[in-house]
Amino acid sequence: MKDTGATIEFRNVRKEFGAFTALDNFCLEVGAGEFMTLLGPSGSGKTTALNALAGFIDVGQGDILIDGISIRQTPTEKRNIGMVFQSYSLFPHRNVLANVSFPLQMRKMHKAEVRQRSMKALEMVQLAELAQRMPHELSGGQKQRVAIARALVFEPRVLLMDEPLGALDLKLRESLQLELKALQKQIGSTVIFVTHDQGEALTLSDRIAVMDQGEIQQICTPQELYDQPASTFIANFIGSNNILRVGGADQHSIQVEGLGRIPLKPGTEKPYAVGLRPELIRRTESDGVPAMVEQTIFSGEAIRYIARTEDGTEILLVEPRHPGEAPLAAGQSIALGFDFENLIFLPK
Amino acid sequence: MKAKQNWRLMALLLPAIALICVLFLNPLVGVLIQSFVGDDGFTLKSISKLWTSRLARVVLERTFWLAFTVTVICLLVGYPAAYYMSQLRPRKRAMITYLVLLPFWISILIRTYTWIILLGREGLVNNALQWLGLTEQPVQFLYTNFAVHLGMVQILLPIVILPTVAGMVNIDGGLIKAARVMGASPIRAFWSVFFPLSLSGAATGGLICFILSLGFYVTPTLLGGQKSLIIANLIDLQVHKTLNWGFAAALATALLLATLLCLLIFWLATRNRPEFATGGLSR
Ligand SMILES: Nc1ncnc2c1ncn2[C@@H]1O[C@H](COP(=O)(O)OP(=O)(O)OP(=O)(O)O)[C@@H](O)[C@H]1O
Ligand SMILES: [Mg+2]
Repeated sequence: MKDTGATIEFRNVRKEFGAFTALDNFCLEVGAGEFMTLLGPSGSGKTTALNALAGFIDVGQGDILIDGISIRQTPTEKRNIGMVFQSYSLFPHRNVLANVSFPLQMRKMHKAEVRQRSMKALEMVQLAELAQRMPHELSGGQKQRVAIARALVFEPRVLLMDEPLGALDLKLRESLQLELKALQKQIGSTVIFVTHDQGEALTLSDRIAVMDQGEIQQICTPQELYDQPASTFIANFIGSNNILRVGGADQHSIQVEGLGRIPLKPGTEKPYAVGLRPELIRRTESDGVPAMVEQTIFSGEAIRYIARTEDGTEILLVEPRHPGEAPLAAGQSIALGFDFENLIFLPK
Repeated sequence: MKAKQNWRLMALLLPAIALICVLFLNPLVGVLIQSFVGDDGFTLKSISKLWTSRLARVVLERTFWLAFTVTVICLLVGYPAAYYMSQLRPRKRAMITYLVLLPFWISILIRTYTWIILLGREGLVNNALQWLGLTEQPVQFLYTNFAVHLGMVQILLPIVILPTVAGMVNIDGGLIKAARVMGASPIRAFWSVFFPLSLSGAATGGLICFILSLGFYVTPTLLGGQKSLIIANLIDLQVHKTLNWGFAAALATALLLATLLCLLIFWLATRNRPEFATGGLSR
């Protein structure tokens, strides 16, 4: 990996649209060459953060730094940022090659070099044969790849991608994800990637920043995020989860709905709720929580059961599917087993 | 099923088609026939006169030149105005559009007479110039090419502005942002992205303006002098004064063919450009 990536830092950035606060005391540090994903529900301020970094909007308060230098006074075109827009934003009057050449032409590069580097970028996204096509003659996935080539062609130190794969079907999205990751490794740019899709975030990112209502809720690696979500909101947002309310507590144990009494390690505070991943629940013969299957959902490689415990709590569990084995039918009684260390204690 | 639906939709066009047949095609064919009819039946005399008559050639040339210069001026004046309008919020843009359309509520005749009052030897402009001491003698504005241009541009400007605005509004603002982030200064982003994409709308406006200019009659007649006699005047002359209807029809046919030729050239020049396919009016 080349050391082309720049460090990025948002310092207490605040952005208001009228009375509405789109970014609230937004702090984010991205290391050189890091692949950082902003993940969050619609309207949580992800695009606003990218727009602030690209210079499309003025931030009200706070500062944004690239390589430790404030860019608040730097006009957009001098920030040297590569950007992939969700809506492609290819220039309709320029063919594929001319689209990809654009950033190089703006940098007053020599004609021959522009051509050579643009073709190289197109080869990276496997579109060299379509260099002479006009954008309206491309499929959605091809457009998206042109947009990626155009953002990468000048080997930017900072690469912003706003749901670049959002408009694509699942298959194409998955193959482009891998391509994208490989390209980023190759060029070494620092990436801020925006997505709605938590699976995509888990696959691609070095770290994930979960956003909600203009604030960052948690920043950590994909694994940590999955295993130790910091809040009920995140536990629900990443993967599927059983979120169980917590009832009465004493020194050594808490009452969790559905599961009964759970021992509490000394010194731990009483959590707000407890999470349990559906794939970490197993069916046992005896000594589990008794429950009744309510619904069986076939989802290809796995089978999901919605079961109800005796106190009326709905529990989701997932089992790998074994061919030839008939799934449980609704109404069947089962016992649910789980390990205490797999419980996620959610503080809020 | 689909075909049937198409036919039903086509039926909606029937009134318009009937109207065109009766009011447009019918006289058009009449004119075409007229240009080949002389005192004693079929003749090529009128048509051949188009080549032999120096007057016809000069006037035809002058008509096209006038239409061209008027169109260029309209585009030069209208484009910045259209740009301004395209950058406004929709509500304000709608308001300005009404203002641009306002002159259409006043008849062309009245507007042209107004220029006569303004530009005459004793007119407002001359009085002002003399009062300011910029000139001793009244300046001859009326009955010049200048007056003709002024009058025509004033009338045709909205026709250029509106399609241009429509084309500009259709340009995706994200493209300008994309250009900026890729290293284009605001001015370069304008010239390399906005301007080329706005051409289709402006070209549509320009084309309409050009074709309308070719057929202008009232304004050049009232504001122009002898040197600005154009084809509409010449046709009128043949019809009303010299009663040479055959030649009048031949001139009209020539004008029609020349106009169609312009359309053909425009089409050939733009058919491979996707952004022109819609004339910039929609996407
Ligand atoms: N120009 C604007 N004027 C007013 N409000 C705005 C403007 N731009 C964004 N907002 C508001 O700011 C909030 C954050 O918007 P933003 O586009 O950053 O969301 P997002 O996280 O990118 O959402 P999505 O995933 O749907 O793209 C939204 O509630 C939005 O309505
Ligand atoms: Mg967004």
